Amino acid sequence: MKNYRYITDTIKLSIDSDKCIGCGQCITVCPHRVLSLIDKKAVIVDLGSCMECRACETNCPTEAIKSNPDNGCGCAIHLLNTWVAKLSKKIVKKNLSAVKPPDAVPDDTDQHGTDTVGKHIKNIRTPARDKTLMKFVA
Amino acid sequence: MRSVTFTLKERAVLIPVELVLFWKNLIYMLLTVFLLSALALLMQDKTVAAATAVFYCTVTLLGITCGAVLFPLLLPFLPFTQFWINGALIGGVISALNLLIHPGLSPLTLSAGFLWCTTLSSFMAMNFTGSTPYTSLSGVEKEVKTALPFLIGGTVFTVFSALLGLFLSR
Ligand code: SF4
Ligand code: SF4
Repeated sequence: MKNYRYITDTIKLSIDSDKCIGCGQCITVCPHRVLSLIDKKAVIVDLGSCMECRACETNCPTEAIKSNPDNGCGCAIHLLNTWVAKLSKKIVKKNLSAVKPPDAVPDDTDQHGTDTVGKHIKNIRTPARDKTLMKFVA
Repeated sequence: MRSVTFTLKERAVLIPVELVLFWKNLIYMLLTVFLLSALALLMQDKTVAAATAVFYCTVTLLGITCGAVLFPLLLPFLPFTQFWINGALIGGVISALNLLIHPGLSPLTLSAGFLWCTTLSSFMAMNFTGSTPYTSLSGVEKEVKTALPFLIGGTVFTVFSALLGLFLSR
């Protein structure tokens, strides 16, 4: 794996030595041998090959390791799609608040914080839509 | 301790996946080429229009081949860290060679084809960041931010150049 190196100056990975109990879990799960146990503490020995997979973070019993908190894979197209979705949602919101007074804009998160703005729009039932649906059924 | 690998074989099996995921876009592109050739038929004589259509189809397929087939195979031997630059490199070299076997087309058409092959190859290569076991999310974010202006620029120039080529070389 040593002949593969990607952009190294952006990698997010940190260890809180005070929290580390030296169990070695992170070292076992890391697919790139980024970490090592020195004096019963996990240390970063090869930051440049970390792929921010967060396996170490998930497996650390004391939450001593933190990696990139953003969810998602390192896939350019997925990233682009996310950006486009965010941007279009912003535009929709802007237009909504332009039509109605701001307090009438529906909150786009339910009480669990899950995003529902798209679903609201999709699931709105109107007589016209019901008619089209009926056509499909018939 | 385990350690991941990314051998030639492991990279090769990803190629069909990339291609299958991309076929819809390919159809849009070939439709655009079809429209362009219809336009060419109105503007130019039949042989030139046919040659233009064949040329644009070739560069589109070449661009995809460079970025989605050659790029993954050559990955460990490519000089740059960022995928899109390597993709542009392969696409540029191959499409430059391709220009040699398409004489008789206008320079504008040729440059549109060259740019398109390079841009497409670069995009497909950038797409491969999602397939490797070593690209980090923050790194990809940086790469996309750097590449995007070039990819958009390349596409815009391609369209301009192709349309100008149609109108000016009557
Ligand atoms: S994020 Fe993944 S690659 Fe990076 S150190 Fe943790 S386990 Fe290793
Ligand atoms: S898993 Fe956490 S506690 Fe265990 S060695 Fe790694 S950092 Fe330390």
